[in-house]
Amino acid sequence: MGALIVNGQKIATDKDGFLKNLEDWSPEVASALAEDSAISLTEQHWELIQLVQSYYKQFGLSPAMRPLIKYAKLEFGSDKGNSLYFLTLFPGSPAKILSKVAGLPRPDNCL
Amino acid sequence: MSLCFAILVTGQPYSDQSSHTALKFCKAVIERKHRIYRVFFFNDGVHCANSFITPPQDELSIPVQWQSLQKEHELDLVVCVSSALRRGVVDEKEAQRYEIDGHNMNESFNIGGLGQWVDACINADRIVRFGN
Amino acid sequence: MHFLYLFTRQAYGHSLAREAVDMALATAAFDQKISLVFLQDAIFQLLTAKDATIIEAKPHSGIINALPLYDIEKIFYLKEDREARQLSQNSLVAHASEISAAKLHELLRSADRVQSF
Repeated sequence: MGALIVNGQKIATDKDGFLKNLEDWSPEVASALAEDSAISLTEQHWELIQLVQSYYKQFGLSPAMRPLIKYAKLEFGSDKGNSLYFLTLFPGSPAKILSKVAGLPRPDNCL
Repeated sequence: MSLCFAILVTGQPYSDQSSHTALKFCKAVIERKHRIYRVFFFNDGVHCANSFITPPQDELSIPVQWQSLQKEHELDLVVCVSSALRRGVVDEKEAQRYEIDGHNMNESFNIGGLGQWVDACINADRIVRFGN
Repeated sequence: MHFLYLFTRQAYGHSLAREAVDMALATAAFDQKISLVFLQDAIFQLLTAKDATIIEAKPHSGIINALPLYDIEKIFYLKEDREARQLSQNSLVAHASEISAAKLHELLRSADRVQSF
């Protein structure tokens, strides 16, 4: 089990860096989670974090890449609704890293 | 003509007949020289992979039957990860991932995703489901 | 390949309702043609009602509303099932459409893979 220290508070994470307790999430925790993946959050990052949070609120699903891109396209247009944009901001597996940073439940690797 | 079957098991052993019938169906398929592409355990079917299942000595062990059929014919037995996690069937890797003490999935089975069932549906000639 | 999924269960009460929709989502990732038909009590899965807090469940409407994002757009129910349950078309999600039994037969004939849950 891992942990992050945010404002002097210890925040529990699992071995892949996902929050143990989703209610621990805060913007400061998000920054710490992002740093864990070597990402420092800019306004553009925050826009996508809010996007996946609203995706989760609307559908109750941790997003997979394809529906997430389609959702982004509907919300922001094709400038930002494409996988390259997501990959630039959250390199590797954007949907997975975004779920982690945005405090969504850990995807079960099924879909 | 030889056919290739994809088998979906959604019933748990000892609650209803379905997983036992699935087993007998698989044996019949093999006897008649047809092929089994994959057996996918989904929803309550994941309990077939639970090695903690201990029926009385004078009753057939359905999990053990699956294991021996797998060994004999190198069947591809896949357990759906999200069905399994919800029902407490975990292999060593998932146990580590979720920091669970101990694991109970028999090694004749592999944990996998729904994509493997879709792949089986695409590649098999017939799909047959067992369970309510 | 055309995958036809027939659902017969209402949204809550048995996990197979939810897990079967998950299966349809997984199928979408394989770029297959997909049709969903919500038969009998499964038509209740299409209700727009979003609140499941009283039964401490995740609202089923979430995954139903996500279907178009997964490019699943052929979502049907039967007129007779709707009428038998006295549901108005307005109470059902707009991305589902009403079909006749004849159209269902046509889907059954044209599909390559039919599964019911």
